[in-house]
Amino acid sequence: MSWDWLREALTTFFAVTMWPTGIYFLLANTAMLVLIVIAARHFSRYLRRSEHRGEDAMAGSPVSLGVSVIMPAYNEEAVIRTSVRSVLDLRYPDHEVIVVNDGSADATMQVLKDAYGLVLDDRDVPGRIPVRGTIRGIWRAPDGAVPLTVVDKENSGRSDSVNVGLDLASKDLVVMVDADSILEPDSLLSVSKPFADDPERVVATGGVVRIVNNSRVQGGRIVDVRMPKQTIARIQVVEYLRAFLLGRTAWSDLGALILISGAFGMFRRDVLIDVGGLDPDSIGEDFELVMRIQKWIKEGKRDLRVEFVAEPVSWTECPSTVKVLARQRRRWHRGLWEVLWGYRAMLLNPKYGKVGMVALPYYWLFELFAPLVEIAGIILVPLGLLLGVVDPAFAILLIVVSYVYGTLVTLAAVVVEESSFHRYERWSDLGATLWAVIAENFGYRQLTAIWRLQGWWAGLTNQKQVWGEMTRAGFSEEADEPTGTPAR
Amino acid sequence: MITPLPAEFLWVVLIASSALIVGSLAALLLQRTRRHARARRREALDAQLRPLVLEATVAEGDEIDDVLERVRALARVEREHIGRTAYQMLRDITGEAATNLRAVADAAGLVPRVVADTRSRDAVIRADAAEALGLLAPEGALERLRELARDPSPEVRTVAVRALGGFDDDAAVRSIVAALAADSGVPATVATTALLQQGWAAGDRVRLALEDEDPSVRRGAARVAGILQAPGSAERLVALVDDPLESVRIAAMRSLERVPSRDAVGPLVRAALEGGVLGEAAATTLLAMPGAWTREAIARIDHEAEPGVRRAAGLRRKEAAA
Repeated sequence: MSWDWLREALTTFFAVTMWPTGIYFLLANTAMLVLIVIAARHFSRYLRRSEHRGEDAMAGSPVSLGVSVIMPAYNEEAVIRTSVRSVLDLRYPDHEVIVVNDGSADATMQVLKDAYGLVLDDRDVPGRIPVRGTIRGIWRAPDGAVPLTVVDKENSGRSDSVNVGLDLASKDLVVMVDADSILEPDSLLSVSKPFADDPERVVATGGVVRIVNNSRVQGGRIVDVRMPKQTIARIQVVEYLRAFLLGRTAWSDLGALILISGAFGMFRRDVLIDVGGLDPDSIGEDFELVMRIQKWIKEGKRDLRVEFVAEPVSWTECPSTVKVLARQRRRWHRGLWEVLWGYRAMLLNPKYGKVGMVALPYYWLFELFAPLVEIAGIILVPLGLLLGVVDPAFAILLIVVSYVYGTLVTLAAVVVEESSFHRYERWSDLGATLWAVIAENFGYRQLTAIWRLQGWWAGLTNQKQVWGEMTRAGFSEEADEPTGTPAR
Repeated sequence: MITPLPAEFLWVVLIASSALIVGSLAALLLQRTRRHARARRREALDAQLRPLVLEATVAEGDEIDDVLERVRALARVEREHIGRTAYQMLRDITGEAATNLRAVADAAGLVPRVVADTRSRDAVIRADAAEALGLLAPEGALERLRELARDPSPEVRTVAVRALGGFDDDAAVRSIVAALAADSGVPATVATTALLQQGWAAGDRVRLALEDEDPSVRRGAARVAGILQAPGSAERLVALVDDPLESVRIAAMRSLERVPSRDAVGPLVRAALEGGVLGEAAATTLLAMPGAWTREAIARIDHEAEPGVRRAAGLRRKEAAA
């Protein structure tokens, strides 16, 4: 059998994609490098002002904007008590906590009833946001001694649960947190500061989410930050640094932030109600919400902003097994595709300013298409080598260059973290970080690219999204690996 | 055979990236080594000098003079460290201990440096200096802070206004009230918090500010009037319940929770029936008022208001009530 047709096809393919692929590879990494430089400049300005930021004054001020913390909970009996306690104990002058028990099959509701002696709250329900899950009952701490409301409802998903909480929220600002997240004591102060500084213009802020695996937790607080033990989790630490901390800081600086993590986002309540809360049908509900807000801002020609706060605020467990990580990445990429497709009218549309002209093209090109390009390269270059279409020496050079340049970009992110927040203080942690920077290139990147493509395909073919079961052991008081992942 | 890109170009990228990786690694190691070395030096100085600072904190009467003499006799590096330590402690300490710490910082030579920094060209240094002036409160600090409250940089103005909150003086109050204006560049939360720090001393100015032409000033004053229990403010707050600006109306309603007035019941019911955030604020205020004043108002809300307002008024769900 002759392979000439394939050889010819590959020759044509490489001839056509020669320059576009090279330019794509350079642009993707250079764009990330530019974002890192912008973030580094932002951190430098931010940290120079640490002496006079005035958070202490705000912490004690009775005129600070009130905050409703909404915590959806599904089968969280292992952590719910600690999570609620730690949120109630946050340093902030005026905040309430609304836990929405999303039809848990375990004892989440009973744990809360026992811990706080909850009593039924039969006050009217505003009904400003349409919700799907039937509410079984609303409970609150007796005599208003603790600013805690617990809603017990049938299972209807995280977004719908947040909407239920939003409907009952009574403060000016609303923050959504995951029950398995651990918040820094000053997290509400940090994330609400842009609202206090510019209450007329700031409508949403996102806080940094970091990885808690293997860090020491006591009484719902991180007391010793450590790198995770498993390589898979270590790589995610580096990934979070590069993409979430630095990437989002830069987008915020550029005035084009379109993604706030669902694990820690703060919003003006009136705006959230105006736009209709979270979309319960969206897989990337946090991304979708911020896109909807940006659209609402631009179409209404409103002088409003979405900001990102670089100060570490929230710590969450990351997947520590390949199976759970795969599920997470498939879901993330599917969510990315569905939101980008849903808001395609904003792409390259000058009406939407930097969001339409800069951020969205970046996300389409370098986030959505990245796994496709990567997998195409992984398949076609070896095939070209096999068929003698590609020069072996050149192919090796190309692969080395792409990984070395990618490593440089990630290392730059680590350098910026080291010169700014430097949360991992041990030399062994630095070693683990550097190992993760290198290890990311060998298997992890390729695997995540495959999972992301699978997620995209699932979205294109409209397959039913299946949420994984949660297995959680809670945060060990003496550190060690907390198991389980935020996958539902 | 195809070579997608010129090999020379790839070699340039490879060599440049490799060089930058080596540079980054060196920077990483250098940063960490220097930071750890600095931390060790600070720890050593802390161990040596903290007892002296603590001695100063608890010193009584003339004892402080002896401590200050010993501070002045220290080497420059040690004086700088002790000045810094005293300054940091001032954020959490008040009373006589704070007075002593201010004297320690002064003896360590911090005050002249801070005063000089207020004239720096760099706005961040001026802002830091304004913060320090507020904490150290040396002679002439009030006048200097009032000047900084008119600084060209909004960042400096903000810190200066916040610092002015700690000076019990009518001139300070005037500067803070001026900072409530929409064009001041000072966040309203900062100015109102500074006013609250002034306590009763700010009462008269706040009452006057409730009638200011600038809605931002009215809103700021309305936010603090209730907490300060400013004498004679209730009547003006009632008038503000019908202010043209919604945020002023809400601020006035929230203040009326603390300085309740029977005259407010009518305007509050009207606001409650408007619904939305405004209606909820009105209902919450009515709920905080004596029941004898609001019985009819609550009954009207029960029949006519939207569910969110009913909830804020503490009213039960219709089906639950049935």
